[in-house]
Amino acid sequence: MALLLVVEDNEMNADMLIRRLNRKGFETAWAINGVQALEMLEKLKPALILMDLSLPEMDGYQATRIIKSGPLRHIPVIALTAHALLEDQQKALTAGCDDYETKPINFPQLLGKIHNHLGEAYDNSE
Amino acid sequence: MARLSADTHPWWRRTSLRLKLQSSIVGYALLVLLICAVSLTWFANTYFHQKAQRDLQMLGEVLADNSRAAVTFDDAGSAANILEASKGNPHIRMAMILKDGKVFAAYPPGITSEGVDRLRPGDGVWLHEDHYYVSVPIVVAKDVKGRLYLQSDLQEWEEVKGNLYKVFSGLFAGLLVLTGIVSYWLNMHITRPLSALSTWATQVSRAKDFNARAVKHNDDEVGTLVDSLNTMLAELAKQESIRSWNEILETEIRERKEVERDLIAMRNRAEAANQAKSQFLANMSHELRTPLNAIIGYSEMLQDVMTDEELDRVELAGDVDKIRSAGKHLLSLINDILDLSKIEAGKMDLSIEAFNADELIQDVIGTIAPLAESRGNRLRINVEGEIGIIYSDVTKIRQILFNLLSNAVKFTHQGQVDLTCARIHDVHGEQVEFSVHDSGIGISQENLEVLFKPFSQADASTTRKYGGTGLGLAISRSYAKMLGGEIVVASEVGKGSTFTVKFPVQMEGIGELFAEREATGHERAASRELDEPLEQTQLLLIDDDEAVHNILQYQLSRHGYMIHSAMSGKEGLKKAFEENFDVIVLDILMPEMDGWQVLQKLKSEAKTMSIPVVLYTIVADKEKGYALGADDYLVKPISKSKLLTTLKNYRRSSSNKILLIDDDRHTLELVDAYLADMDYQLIKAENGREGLDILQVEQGTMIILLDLIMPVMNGFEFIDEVRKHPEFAKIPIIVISAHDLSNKERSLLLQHTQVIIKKGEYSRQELIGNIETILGNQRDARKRSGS
Ligand SMILES: Nc1ncnc2c1ncn2[C@@H]1O[C@H](COP(=O)(O)OP(=O)(O)OP(=O)(O)O)[C@@H](O)[C@H]1O
Ligand SMILES: [Mg+2]
Repeated sequence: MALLLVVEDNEMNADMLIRRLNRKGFETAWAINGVQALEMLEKLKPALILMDLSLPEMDGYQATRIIKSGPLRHIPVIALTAHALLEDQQKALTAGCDDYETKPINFPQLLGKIHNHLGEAYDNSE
Repeated sequence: MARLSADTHPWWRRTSLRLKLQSSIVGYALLVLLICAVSLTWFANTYFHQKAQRDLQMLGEVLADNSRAAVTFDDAGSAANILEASKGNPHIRMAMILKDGKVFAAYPPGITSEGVDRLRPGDGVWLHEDHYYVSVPIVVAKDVKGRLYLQSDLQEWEEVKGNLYKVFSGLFAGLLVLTGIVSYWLNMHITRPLSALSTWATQVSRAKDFNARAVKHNDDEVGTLVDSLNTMLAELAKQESIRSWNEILETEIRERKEVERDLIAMRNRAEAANQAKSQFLANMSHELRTPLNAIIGYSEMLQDVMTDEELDRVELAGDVDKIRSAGKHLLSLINDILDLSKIEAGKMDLSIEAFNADELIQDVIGTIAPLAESRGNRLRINVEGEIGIIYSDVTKIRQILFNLLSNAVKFTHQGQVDLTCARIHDVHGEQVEFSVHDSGIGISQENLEVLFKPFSQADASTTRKYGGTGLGLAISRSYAKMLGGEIVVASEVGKGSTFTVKFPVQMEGIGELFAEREATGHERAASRELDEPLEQTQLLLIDDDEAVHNILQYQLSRHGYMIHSAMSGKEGLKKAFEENFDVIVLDILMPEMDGWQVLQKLKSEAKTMSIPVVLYTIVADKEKGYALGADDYLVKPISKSKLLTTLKNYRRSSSNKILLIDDDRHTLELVDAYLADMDYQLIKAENGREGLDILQVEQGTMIILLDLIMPVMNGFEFIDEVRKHPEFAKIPIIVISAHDLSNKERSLLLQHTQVIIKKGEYSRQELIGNIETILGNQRDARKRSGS
């Protein structure tokens, strides 16, 4: 099944998310910050990126901006963040994120969004 | 040319009006006099000379005529006689007849012709050297036979002139006197008032007293001038007052502007604080969501896993542990926020006790060591000398040290963290100093300034990288301050930081605290005399939950309740029948015998029927409770204040007698009103003497509220009297006085009284608070002496 890249600095949250995604049959890869995410993106070419926004080294906004201005810009990015204000959401979308999910994550909703974007992505690429 | 400026005015413009007036009057009179004198003199002069000439001519002609015969006949003797006739005229100095150039006859006789040369030849009258001369020909038959000469002096004119001068001098003197009178009059009625007015005006203008008014003496022009000056002054005064009003207005405006500026500054500060708060809340929300994400996520996953068949218990246990740790993290965050808000509201309490520094250090290190290790940091502890016993709040100090150490460990990677502890002596006295040094990332100058501010984070990116909320230091500094100490920091970016916390070995106020304990210890003997069971309200608590017993014991014992515990309905009934209680608090939900049954039983037995019962439960079945005879109802969970107000109605009444001594009816009424709904029995006395009498009669007075200034016996005398009676000497006194006390009076008073309250400046809460504190202390003392 599709490979999802999880970018998350909090180990516990990453572990939890990855295991839940695995249980739903997704393959996953984990990057701990923006820099690592960009590296892995090149190598793995994931179907979708789940991006935490507040990250050390390079934060999610910046990573997303770089992705969205590069050759792999068709890969959907769903922002995952504990910032809950409307303006935070706006900021994420301006940075180029395709979707936005507030922590604590509503998992079924997130799954819905992932399927949505994967469907679209495949549609577009084919 | 500036000749018109005051100093350069010509002198005549500068001379006073009076001088000018006087001199012009005198001058004018003199001028008139002079003109008169001159013209008169001239006139008289002319007249006299003409007359003198005419007279001389006539005399000459007469004499010449008379002497014709004598000349004709050469009779010198008769000629001399004729000439002698001129003797009648005293002014004729000389008369002479010349015949053929020789003196023919002369008067006075004997004068020679010498000098006659000087006589002018020819006829007529002439003036020469103050003498008139006349020469008349003596004609006989148309032949000039000789000549007659007469000389006359001007003596007569001199006399006239002398008289004239006398007249003029008299006139002059008279004129001077007249001028004097006139000018005096003028002076009195014009110059004097004018110059007085002028002096007055000068003074007014110098003193700028525009409310002064000139006095009007006459109704003439000066009077008018006074009037118009006064009008002018009134006008000026009006303008002056307008001006001063303007000034007042201006200062007011200025002040208002200042206030406005202050308000704006305040608003800006408030806005900034608000901003920081919002920012903080946003961060907080972020921080809370992160662990919640894990907690909720793992929980949901566990739900999933549990429904699966292949259940890995070890994995499950690990996940549960993660949930637990995330939950604990959340809890510590929430606690931090609560602490901070408590500190901000000034509600953080200190609990001071004696503790050992070494134990504290071991304790903190035990917690921090694993963290240090996990970040590859070496932890060193260095205790300099003997620290000994510290009297302070150990929990707060532990938290400060933990915060400082966890920061050091957090912001240092594979480095060195040192904790140094020393006892020092400085200007503030004996102090303990803990110093936490690290070799970590350090803090920039700019960030150092905001480090300790609550709700302000040092560096957003740092925080993002290292986690945390930026509350640790804010809380730590507040704690340090509460303990009478401080935290300082020194840091260099890239080199590391040193945080030093310092606080007194004995927290300030600790002395008083211990002294107070001693004092209450001394009071034991006195308070033992008081009938203890009578004072305390006996409360029977029937509840199966031990926690409830503990809570009530804690909450009520300080407020005059003695709690008797029964852990079941059966036990409760047994106790209720055996002993006497003032009130029973009853739980409904209990095993075996529930509260309803107990209530029914209590209300059906004669012995317990009248004991009030308060239901204490989670079931909100009020009506049923009342129907079964319950007196009151409390729904769990219950706040302390609700509990106290409900139970108050069932306390032993008049247990707290308060004696109020004040001569002011207003105060009596006010205190009465303030204490109306409290459980106190207020006894009033109008002066110290009356108060003493009441003390003798009314046993068990708990507190005296005392005014100072009263008739018959004032407050100071009352205190002296009371101290002489050992049975009353221990009754606490609260002084309520409008009297302004000096520091000395105050400290003297405080040796014998508990509290001094300023009349008109205290609130109901303050009064009750003071009374309650004293009553609470007494109860504590009694309890201690009882146990
Ligand atoms: N030892 C240190 N070295 C470098 N920076 C420090 C050090 N101690 C504190 N700071 C800076 O001060 C900030 C505030 O510290 P504080 O302890 O108040 O908050 P925190 O550690 O970020 O969060 P919290 O203690 O609430 O978990 C930190 O975020 C950090 O930027
Ligand atoms: Mg901290």
